[in-house]
Amino acid sequence: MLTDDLLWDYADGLLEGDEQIRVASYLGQHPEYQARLDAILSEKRAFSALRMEKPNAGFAQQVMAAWATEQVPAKALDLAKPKGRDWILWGIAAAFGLMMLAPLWMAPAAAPAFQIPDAYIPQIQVPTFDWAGFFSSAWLRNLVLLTTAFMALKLLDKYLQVRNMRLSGH
Amino acid sequence: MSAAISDETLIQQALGGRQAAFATLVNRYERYAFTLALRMVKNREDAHEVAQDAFLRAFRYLPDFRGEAKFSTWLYKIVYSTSLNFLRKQTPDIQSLDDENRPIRLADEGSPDASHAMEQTDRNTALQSAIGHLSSNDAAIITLFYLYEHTLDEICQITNLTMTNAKTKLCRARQRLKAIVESKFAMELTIGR
Repeated sequence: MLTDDLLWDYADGLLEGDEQIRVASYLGQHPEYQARLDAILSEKRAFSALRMEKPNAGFAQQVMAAWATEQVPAKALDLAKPKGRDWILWGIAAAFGLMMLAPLWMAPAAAPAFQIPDAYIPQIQVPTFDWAGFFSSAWLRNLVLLTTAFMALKLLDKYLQVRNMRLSGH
Repeated sequence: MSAAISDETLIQQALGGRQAAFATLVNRYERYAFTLALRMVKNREDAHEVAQDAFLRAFRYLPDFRGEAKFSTWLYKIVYSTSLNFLRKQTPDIQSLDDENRPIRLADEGSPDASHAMEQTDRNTALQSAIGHLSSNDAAIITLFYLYEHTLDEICQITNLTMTNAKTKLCRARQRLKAIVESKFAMELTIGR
């Protein structure tokens, strides 16, 4: 006897070779099952004829807009990390930091030193440099100002670039 | 014109940065993705969200697509898993996603009327509604096999089922669908004599 499940599997082509042949042979010998098979095939056609659901209008545009928004932070990160040029910023920051720390170095030179008796000071000739004159020179002051201005403008440029990339994605 | 371009070509173009290729893929598969999502989540707004998330995930992981399966199979796998994740967030009890334990009440299998009932003009409407009453997994497997005409092997790739499990689930889904049609929509169907 052929069950409905077996007929469905036969109609769906899910039976193994031998079983497929066995069912086909049984159907040939028992034509009364053909009507049930025809009904099953009709149901299969009904399943295949089911309509596909359609998303709301603009679905594809929404997907593409969301995809474009996702791409923006990745590009912004790429811009924020200039390849191979970070050393310029770090170098400027280091030079600026050193110049900011210069007054701390000058303080011991300006303060009155503890007077050690000459007898206790080994007579060693140490090369000297006029640090006070160096740090009080006008050109150094101008250089500090220019460096500070350059760094500020560079940081502002980066900020505006990242902000513009994010805004252009909306 | 875009219909003549194969999925593989569109994928290569998309990976090369052509946004139009992404858009063509969305237009080509939006109805399939949305239908599968709707069958599983049962709600249009949720299905929109799921289908959109699935497309975004597909684009995100497009570089990982190796072409061993069809793009449609790969996309539907993403839609299926995205739908399941969405449902799990809504329904902590995972078992409720699959009605394996729900008893299947069938009409007398020997009666020709049970099959005859399907051969009527309101059949599509009744079927459409009946599929909405199926569980998410049952609806998905019915949709993938009969509407999308995927093979069981492809369904196994999409749903991570073994061949035996997929065959069993297809059989049970069909039986449950039949039971739903007969119990809920028998009045809408006129039986031809």
